[in-house]
Amino acid sequence: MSTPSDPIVPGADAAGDDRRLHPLSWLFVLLQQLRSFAVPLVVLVATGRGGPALGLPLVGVAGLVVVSLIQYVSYRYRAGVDGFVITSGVLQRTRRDIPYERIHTVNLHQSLLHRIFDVTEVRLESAGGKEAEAVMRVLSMADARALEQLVRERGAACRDEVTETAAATLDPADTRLLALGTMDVVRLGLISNRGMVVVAAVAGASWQFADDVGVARDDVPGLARDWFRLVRDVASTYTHDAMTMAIVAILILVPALILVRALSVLLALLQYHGFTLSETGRQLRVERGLLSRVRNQVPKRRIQVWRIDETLLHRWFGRQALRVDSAAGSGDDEHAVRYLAPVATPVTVNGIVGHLRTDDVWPPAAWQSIHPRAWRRYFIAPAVMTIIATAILTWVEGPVGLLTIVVVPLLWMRARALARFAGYAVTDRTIAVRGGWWHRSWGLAEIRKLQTLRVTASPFDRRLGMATLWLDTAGASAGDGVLRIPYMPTAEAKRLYAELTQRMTAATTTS
Amino acid sequence: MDLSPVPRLADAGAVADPAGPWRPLAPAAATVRAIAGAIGGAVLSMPVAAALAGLLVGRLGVPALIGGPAVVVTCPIVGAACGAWLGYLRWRRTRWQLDAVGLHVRRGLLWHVEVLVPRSRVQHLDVERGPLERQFALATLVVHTAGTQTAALRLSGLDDHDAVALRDALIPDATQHVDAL
Repeated sequence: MSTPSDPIVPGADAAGDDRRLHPLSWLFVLLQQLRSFAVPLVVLVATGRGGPALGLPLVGVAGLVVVSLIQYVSYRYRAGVDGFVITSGVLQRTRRDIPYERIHTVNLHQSLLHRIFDVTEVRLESAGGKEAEAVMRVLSMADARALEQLVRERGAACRDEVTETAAATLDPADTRLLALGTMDVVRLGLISNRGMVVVAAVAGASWQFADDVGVARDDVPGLARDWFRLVRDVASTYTHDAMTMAIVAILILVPALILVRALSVLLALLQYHGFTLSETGRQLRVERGLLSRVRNQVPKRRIQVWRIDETLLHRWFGRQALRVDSAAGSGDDEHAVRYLAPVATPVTVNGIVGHLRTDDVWPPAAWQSIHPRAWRRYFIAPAVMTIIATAILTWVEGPVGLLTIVVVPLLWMRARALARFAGYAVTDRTIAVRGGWWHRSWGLAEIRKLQTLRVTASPFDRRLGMATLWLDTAGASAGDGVLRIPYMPTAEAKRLYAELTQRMTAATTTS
Repeated sequence: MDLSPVPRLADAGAVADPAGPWRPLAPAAATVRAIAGAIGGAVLSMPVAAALAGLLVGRLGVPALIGGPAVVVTCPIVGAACGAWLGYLRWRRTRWQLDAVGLHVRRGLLWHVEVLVPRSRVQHLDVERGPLERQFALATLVVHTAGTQTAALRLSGLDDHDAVALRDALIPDATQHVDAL
């Protein structure tokens, strides 16, 4: 048996080349298992409620140590000719064969502790599946890189044996496409709203564990309540003074906003410090993280949709974000490449898209606009709702309710802006869609990656001669939804539907 | 353009007509749709019946012995009739077509929808037969793709033979293995 520091040689000796994980693996397996018990343990120890029963959890931990050790001893992997062979288990032995060509990405995850010991968690991901094909917890960094290299070479060789033998075996150079500095990451924190997630999580957790820690639920937000009471007292003294009310409101809001943004920046630094995007042959690789380093890959051909976002804050900072939907690996951010550029100038973002999609011109020279009367569709429904709300408010609250009507001109402006910006562009190989008002977004998909087409027309659409075209792709998240071109003139929608129908199928048969 | 799937259309028998017109659902499906619609309509009319009974008896002073049964009998009948009518209209409106490109489906009374699932995007297929469908020798074809919104296209009310023939005609060609992913 080879020691973990030997180089990995595929298939040289199929029988005797079994390899083990890093000798410290048991420690990380143990920590992984302990994580689910961590909170109750801490609570038990902190409150002293455990008392004499404290020995029980310790026995449990000792048991887990044994289990982790056994797991380490029983886990073997071998780099065979066609793929990895992983055997594990003591009572029930499991053998898993993973062909190299099935492995689409190798993702590495290093927490602070991993980095201290120079080891990493390795996940082998295939297309489509929600779970990783194999999780190796943990390998030495050298082994992990060798394994990554091996998958890249063997996978490419297996896939393209017939077509491009020479090109695939060449070791491709690493091209760095983007590296974020600290200021960029701070900007990312200011733009994003991650702080709110923390606030929500902390609020939830404190509520959940208030009883366990021996604190009455009402006292958890004690500080906040005192602060609120003070504000209320001050406010009630001058209830008729609108100016004071405004000042008090600002006194509450501004510190809260600053705190949340500061949290956002902190989180952004933790997750995105030292972000780099590089291109290695067919793979795109993203590395990021301050304490725990994440190293994810995505094969370029697995990218389904390219999405660019520009919120109002992005625009104020002169930045955009570039994301991709991919069909490889699990959907969550931790184990998949989601952001190719979390924050970058529009020039950089367009440059990256243009570079990676060399067969297209990006951004497109011209955008086709939607139906000239589309703004009516954006305007009428919310306007009618507003007018009904105004009527109800006026009836209940008196003439003050009429103030709500000022929203209507704003809605009109919004509708005009939405209709003006919405559009699409079709090139030989791709279709691009853009839309939005203060939050603008662009989507770009290869026509041969489209899955299904759908045209819909509601009675309102038909009255104005409109139809909406939906372009379904794989891997789109629920939040983004499917690419769609809203409110097209019916004739144009039908023409594009027919054209895409032809080209979707034509492209697959030739590729 | 290489239309390699075309030869397989012959295997599918009468279903597959490359330039074929839009085909309606099986005639027996009209009955099934009407029955399903009637059941749905009757169930949906229950709350209406309760509200109406409350109004008649409670507010308008109609004697409970007359008003109650009248409402309880009339409402579900009207609801079932409406549901059956809607089910029939939906059946009449639904059309499908299999050609060299793939499966096209058109449906929707007010909200018109036309969907295309190209042959090359079909991941796997199910043929489902519910108890009512079995009685009328009908089946539901479910076409799965790798997409997100139209991950599964359900076409119910097909003649059993048509459903099986459609399934056989749409089975992904293993030799081509271009999943477009």
